[in-house]
Amino acid sequence: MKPRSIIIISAIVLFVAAELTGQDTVNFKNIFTTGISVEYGIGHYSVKDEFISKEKYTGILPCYSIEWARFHHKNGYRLKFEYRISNNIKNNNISAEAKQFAFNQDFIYPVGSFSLLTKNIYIFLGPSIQYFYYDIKYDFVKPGTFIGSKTYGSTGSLGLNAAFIYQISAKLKIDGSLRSNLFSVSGKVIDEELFEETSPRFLTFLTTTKFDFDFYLHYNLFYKISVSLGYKFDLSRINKWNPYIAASDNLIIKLNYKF
Amino acid sequence: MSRIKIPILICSVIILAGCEDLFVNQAESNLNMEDFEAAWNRVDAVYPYLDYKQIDWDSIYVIYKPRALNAKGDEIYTVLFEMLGELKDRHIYVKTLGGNAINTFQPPRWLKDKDAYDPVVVRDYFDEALFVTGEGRIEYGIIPGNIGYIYMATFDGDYLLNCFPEALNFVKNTKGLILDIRHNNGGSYQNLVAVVSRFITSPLAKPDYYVLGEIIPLPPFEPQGYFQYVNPVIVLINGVCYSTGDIFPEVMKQISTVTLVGDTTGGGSSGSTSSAPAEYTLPSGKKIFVGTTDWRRYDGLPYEWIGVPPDILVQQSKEDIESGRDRQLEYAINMFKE
Repeated sequence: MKPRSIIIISAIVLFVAAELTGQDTVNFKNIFTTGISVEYGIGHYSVKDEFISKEKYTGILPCYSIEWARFHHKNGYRLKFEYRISNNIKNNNISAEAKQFAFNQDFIYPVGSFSLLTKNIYIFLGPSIQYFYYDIKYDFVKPGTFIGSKTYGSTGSLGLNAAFIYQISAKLKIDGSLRSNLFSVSGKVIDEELFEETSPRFLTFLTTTKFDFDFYLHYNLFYKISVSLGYKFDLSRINKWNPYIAASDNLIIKLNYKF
Repeated sequence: MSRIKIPILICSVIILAGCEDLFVNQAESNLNMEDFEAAWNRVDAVYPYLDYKQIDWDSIYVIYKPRALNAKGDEIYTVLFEMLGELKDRHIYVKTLGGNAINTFQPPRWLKDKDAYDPVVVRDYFDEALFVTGEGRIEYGIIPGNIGYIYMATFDGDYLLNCFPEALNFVKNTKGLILDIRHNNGGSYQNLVAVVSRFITSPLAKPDYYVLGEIIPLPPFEPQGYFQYVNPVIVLINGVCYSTGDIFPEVMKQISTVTLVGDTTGGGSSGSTSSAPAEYTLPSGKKIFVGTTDWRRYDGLPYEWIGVPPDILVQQSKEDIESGRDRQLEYAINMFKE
């Protein structure tokens, strides 16, 4: 997709999100999970960076994140910082240390609601700014020998986020969201002698993908504290130069303090 | 209803777990055994120091072949690193598919001296900031007492050809010159020629040079440039000087005005040339670098392992640097002040 098309689509989405008629902003505001949240997740992670090899490395990659969300009268926004690290990502008997962090800023606009099984589902949509960095160190030879190999890369993106909230009862709701880049400036370590195009480059989501979606079962413990249990899928991909791809499934527990 | 929804949520999680496997696929096949055979054969065919190092390369094959046969996925990297590591040659590397070169060995003197030098400490010995040229690879200035100082960080590229005259011109009227090549990991021979030619007043024979076992006649170094620096010169060296960083002090040592001060260089003399490239592509696309050339000292021995000893041994430690002292530089300065 050409950058101009992406910009036009983004502008339409923003326009529709901001101006949709019949929005019940009070309900949207009340139902949206605001405040500060901390998350811990554990998930199965797979990664392949062909700067090093075509072999797939897998393992358990814990996830730590902190999120701050606020909803004004008509729209909300959310900041989220996520950090992940493990030194036990393996290909057969070769281990590697994978590290990544991501920063997301989401702008959230209510777009409508519809009824499902007598309850309302509230839908939100908006633009996102994303930054993502990863590095992987490979222990081909035992540590301390000064023989090692490393790959790294990063992506700064503009994209979209969408979310839904399904209120089951006063204390229980299901919420979910997805986020995807549209276009990015992506770079990774490469041997510049091998490629005509240097790193970083401006790339669309067809070449660079940063995508995640999640859904949670959210329970209000008492007045301002709630706990969520959920699933999150995360995909990052730079299909340029020596391709990189990583994906993970995660079981997440989240604690929220509303203010 | 909630009794239905919660199981739906749990089932969805179970179904979705494993999504990552759909996106990140296993490598379909590998050429591990082919890579092993090619690497072993390459060393057997071109490496110049098997006899000098008394390495029985056939026995290495016997030891490593079963490991290569059993290597799954990237385990072949370990087999290649360790097999090539038997040669104990820092020039030898394995390059990953994307071109990340990983050395298979670090010389003991290199490890000893790797923290025993810091240009920040050197700068404290000057009253004024050092001049910088060659994209930061050359620093030069004058130490109180009219002692010239030129630091050359590397022999890479062609920057010494272009920028060394500027630095030498600045110190041309000094009573003596410190040429600091500590931590210089080598580079191209043309840079060495560009520097040596400014300190000789008559032709100087080059040391022996072999390509794939054949001696290659080389013309002597000739004086070049619009002036020759003929005052006393001290070349500072340490264990992180390697490759061309070994050859340079050995050549400079032949000049009567030059004294080597510091510690023995790292010792690496296998290399590459356009007629016999050392970099070799394995069947999988990985690359290995196994030297095809052999540089010799003036006494006929290779630099490999033994390096070049200083005329005056001045050892320096990490603790010296941490305390803000550069004993090797101090020794050189005092030699000129005496």
